[in-house]
Amino acid sequence: MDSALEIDVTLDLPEFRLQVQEEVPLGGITAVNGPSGSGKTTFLRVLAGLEPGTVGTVRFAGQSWQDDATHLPPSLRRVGVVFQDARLFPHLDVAGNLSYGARRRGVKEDHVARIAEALRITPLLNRGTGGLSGGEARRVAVARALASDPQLLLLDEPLSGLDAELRATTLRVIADAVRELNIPVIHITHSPTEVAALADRVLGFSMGRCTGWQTPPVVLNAKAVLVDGDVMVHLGEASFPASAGIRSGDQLTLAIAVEDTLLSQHSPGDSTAAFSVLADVVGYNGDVVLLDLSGQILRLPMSGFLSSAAREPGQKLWLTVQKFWARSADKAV
Amino acid sequence: MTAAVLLTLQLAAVTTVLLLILAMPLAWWLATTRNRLRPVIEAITALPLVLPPTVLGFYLLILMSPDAPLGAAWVRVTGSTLAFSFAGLVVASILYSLPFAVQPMQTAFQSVDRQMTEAAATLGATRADLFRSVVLPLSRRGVLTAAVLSFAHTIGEFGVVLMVGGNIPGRTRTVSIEVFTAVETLDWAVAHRLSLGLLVFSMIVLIGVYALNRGGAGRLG
Repeated sequence: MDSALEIDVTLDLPEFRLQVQEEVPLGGITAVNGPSGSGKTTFLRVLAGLEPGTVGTVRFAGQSWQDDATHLPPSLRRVGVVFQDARLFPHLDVAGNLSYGARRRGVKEDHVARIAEALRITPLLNRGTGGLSGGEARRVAVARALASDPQLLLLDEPLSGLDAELRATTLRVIADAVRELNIPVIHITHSPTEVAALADRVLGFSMGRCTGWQTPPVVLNAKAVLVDGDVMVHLGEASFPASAGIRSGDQLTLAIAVEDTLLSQHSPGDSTAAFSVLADVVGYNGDVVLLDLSGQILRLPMSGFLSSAAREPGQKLWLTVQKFWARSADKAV
Repeated sequence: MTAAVLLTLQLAAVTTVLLLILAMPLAWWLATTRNRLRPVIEAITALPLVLPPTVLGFYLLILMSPDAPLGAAWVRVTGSTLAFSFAGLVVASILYSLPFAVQPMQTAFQSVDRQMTEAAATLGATRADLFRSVVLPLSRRGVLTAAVLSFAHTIGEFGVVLMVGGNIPGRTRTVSIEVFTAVETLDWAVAHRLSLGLLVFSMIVLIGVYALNRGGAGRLG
């Protein structure tokens, strides 16, 4: 397939084996989501050509990066990699870091300037890397990778170690920049919020193997309000206790894994779920039902256990959510 | 006396330049290779540290003799023998000071974070390119230390020079041999002046090296 990254590789490391067979579409942002230690970073290193012990094939848009006879070095793969730590060159200033890859790949200066602008680092260009804050260093690292004219951008939890507010703003800047430049991205993360904010599709990862495509999380906007002295989350007609750390008046983003949702025609009553809320059916397409929750449209897979009458527009369905991640303006909880 | 000082400085300068050119790729190879021969090559490199200079000089003398392949080839190309010549002294000095050039550079190259070289590789740098553009700038203290130590060690060598070069005024008589000659001929004034000069020079060099390395601990590059 010409517009895909075809991967069929095995890598044996001491006490760890990575075995991946997957085809990743080359468009938009693909999140690789899995627990710590599941081999996500190793997977990314294999794609970048940084693991010489890798056996198998990697084909990028029909071009072989690795097979029995080939192991293209990282310098020839034209991948931009943003590592967990920024890895900026300490002997070069910010502009020098940006032009490092750009010069080697013949990228024009005005394009580099545009990338610096998109990542809002233009005022930092003449500074050394030592005095940069965490968020600035990550943005410079992303800009440096983008300035090397990559045909694929690999992000390895590029926001780890930053506080939630900085993560949110940095994430938005990165997402806008890569969409503007139209470069396919593989984004490694174990944060549902990051997945929700960025990804067009989600690849599950566990114990060194891909566990298949996951549905991207549902994102809902809600508001925290004070009810009888308790901070409650207000969503449609439902109110439920907010997690610790959320303040009254906060605007919230709720990220909900589709696997953690349940649709029913009748109220589930008291349960151990986080909350249940009544929503209107507004459409149905294949296996997906469209729900309107106080003006927010949700796409959810329709269970075969619900009657076909229940999915007709105008019907009401209970949406039960077992757990969610809430992010407010200043911190994630 | 002046001839000896000039000859010594000339020998040290030529040796240092050639040594850096030869030792740098060797140090980079030793710092990065997974080859099983690495300990053997490291041992050969470090041999001049433990071998008596006379032993090294003895073997070099044999290698440089017109009967040996190296010595014969030299005679064919230049028309003169390698032993008891300035060129012979340079060859001997390079081997004798090799560990002083290789080891500081190897340590410096090894301490460059692999993360930096990986980042450079993903940005399009080939192996040679990332050595020049990332490893070398981040190891410049190590390279400078190697240069200073090689220079100073060459100035101070005695046994190898005597074995390979003999004691020919203006050609192979370096400062340390001049001191030896002065003492043998009871010329105490010359021995004093040259010895004190070498002592002060060595002290200054070592203070410089330690100051350089202390400065390097605090900040990168």
